[in-house]
Amino acid sequence: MGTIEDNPFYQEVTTRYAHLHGHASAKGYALAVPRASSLAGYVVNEAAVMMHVLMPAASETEFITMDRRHVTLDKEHGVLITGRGFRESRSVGIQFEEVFYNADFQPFTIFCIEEPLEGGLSFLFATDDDEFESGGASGGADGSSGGEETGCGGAGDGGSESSRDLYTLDVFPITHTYPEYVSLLTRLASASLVGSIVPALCEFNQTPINPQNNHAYTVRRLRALCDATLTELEVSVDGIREAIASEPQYQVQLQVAVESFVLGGVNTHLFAVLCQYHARQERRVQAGIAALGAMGLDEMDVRPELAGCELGEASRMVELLRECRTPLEKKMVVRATLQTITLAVETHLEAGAEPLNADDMLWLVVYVLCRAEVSHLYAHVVHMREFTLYSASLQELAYYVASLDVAVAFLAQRGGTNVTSDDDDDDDDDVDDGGVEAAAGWSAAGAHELVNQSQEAVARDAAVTT
Amino acid sequence: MAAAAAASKHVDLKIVFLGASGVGKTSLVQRYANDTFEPTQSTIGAAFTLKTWHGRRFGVWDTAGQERYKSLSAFYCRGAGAAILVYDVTKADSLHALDAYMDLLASAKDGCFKVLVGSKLDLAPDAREVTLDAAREYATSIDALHIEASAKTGDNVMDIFNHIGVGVFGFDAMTASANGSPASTPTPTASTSTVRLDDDSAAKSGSDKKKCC
Repeated sequence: MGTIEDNPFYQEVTTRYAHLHGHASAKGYALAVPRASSLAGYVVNEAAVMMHVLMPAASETEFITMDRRHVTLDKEHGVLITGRGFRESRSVGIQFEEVFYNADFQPFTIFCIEEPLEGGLSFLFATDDDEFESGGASGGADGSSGGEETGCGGAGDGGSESSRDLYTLDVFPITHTYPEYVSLLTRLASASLVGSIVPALCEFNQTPINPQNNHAYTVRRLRALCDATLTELEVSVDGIREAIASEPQYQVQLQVAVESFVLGGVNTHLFAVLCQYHARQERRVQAGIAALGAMGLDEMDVRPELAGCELGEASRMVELLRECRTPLEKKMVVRATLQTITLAVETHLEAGAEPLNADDMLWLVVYVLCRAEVSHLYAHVVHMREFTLYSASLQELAYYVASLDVAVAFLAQRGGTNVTSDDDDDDDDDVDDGGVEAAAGWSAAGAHELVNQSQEAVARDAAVTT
Repeated sequence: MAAAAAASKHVDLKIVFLGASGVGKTSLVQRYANDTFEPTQSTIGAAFTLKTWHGRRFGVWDTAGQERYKSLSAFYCRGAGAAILVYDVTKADSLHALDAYMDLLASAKDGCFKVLVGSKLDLAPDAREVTLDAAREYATSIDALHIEASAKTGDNVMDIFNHIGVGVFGFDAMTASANGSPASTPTPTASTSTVRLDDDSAAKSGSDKKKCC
């Protein structure tokens, strides 16, 4: 337990950014101060401070930050809710609020909040014993002094269970969810060791992402983060090297676990950039969905015997993409979706009928996507396709991603004919359909653009795989 | 947990089927999936099959064959270590239709092992339109091994995959394994990705099962 004066964020505000603090207090603006443990690795720079200075807006429960983002106070639930201008809507609990007075004895409020309004990785290491103490002056919660990187305050060691007991392959099935991987790695290596990567993740989250070159640079940065984490684990945790030497598969599973940890930690930042960068293609995909959405299977290019196939469950399945943090989680959703389609088809077809083939699958996936409520489909595909750092060899999952990739590319091409010039006036590759291809909304030229994007990633994939 | 385990299967070799619609790609995949000693570990209809070949995992990918989806097949070809290019021995057009698919293999691995497969061999005695010489010449031009096969009778289907396995992993991979019982023993090859088999007599014999050329 610590006082507000011990909080590294507050210390930075009142020292390095005293001009902002002085301005805010003079104007009677509120200041949101994230609790110490939520600042693990968080870079307290001017932008971060400005994001936490809350200026009054239209009502007493609405604020605009100094960098023009919107925050709403929900008094009933005791939370600040981030809105327009933030990368995600986040509901941040208020531990308490305290009234301070400026030099003119005018009051201004400080909200002590659970985590930063944006960024930070507090959810990884949240504990119950690092709350502020309102008033008083007990020792600091983490003893950190508010530098650029604050270390891993609040991360318990979590190591009551012998990590050696966990060196079995069973604890690393390759299809864990992101929270499970975090838990597994923390148990394996202790929270403090795993948490040592957090500053790097926070730095990644607080720096711009350059999406050029088909995200190659970003992939390299993230791969380097993973490599560094793996090296640290091998060096620091007894038995890992021996486990890898005795069972090569263990190394693969460890790599996938670290990959999930890293990609999950940067997901909010990264995926927002993917959505923004691929907005044009997404418009095409959504236009394609709009164009085909009203069509029944019997109107699509599938075999007549598949027309009555019930695919509602598959559409509900693919909607789970919205809840995934890592590419691996998304691949598992796609896998489940395609398997649901397969099961529906096999149930529907009579014995002895021609089995499901790739031509059928294309249209069935298109049909399912048209009936699911999933936005940013194109970004999801890019996320899965490009941000596979170690798990490229999981080719069964690769098949499912390719199937979705093909269907989304098809929708993008179909939608390419329907996007108006106002929507898409920067396109120089728009479609010149004719004949049969026009009937299907298909453009070979446009397809090659998409294919080329895919091919650009091949060289990098090969490098990653090796 | 079983589902999780299946999804975690690594694949040692990705094989893609390419060819025009109706040439019999799906039937060949089905025959391979259902008619080998090695167990089939996973399938998505005939669109994806995961099988083991002498301890190596083959992921066999069917691709959309319709003309207007052809460009999309490049998505399936990414990182492929082997490609099976299928034509119908009873349809002359289907052989040179494969020209359009060669570009797609640019996204496959360097040195992608190619096999040109003439399908529907069982119909050849009465309806052959693609001669062995023409097919062989085409195979040479694309640096591929040539085999004729029948999904209906099963003739040579296993050989396609045996030759691919040997061509990619080497003859030792087959002989060293105690698992499985291959239908035939392919010709040992060098470590290059192209295999040439000279067995004209077999190719010309309607009763002979070996029709590799």
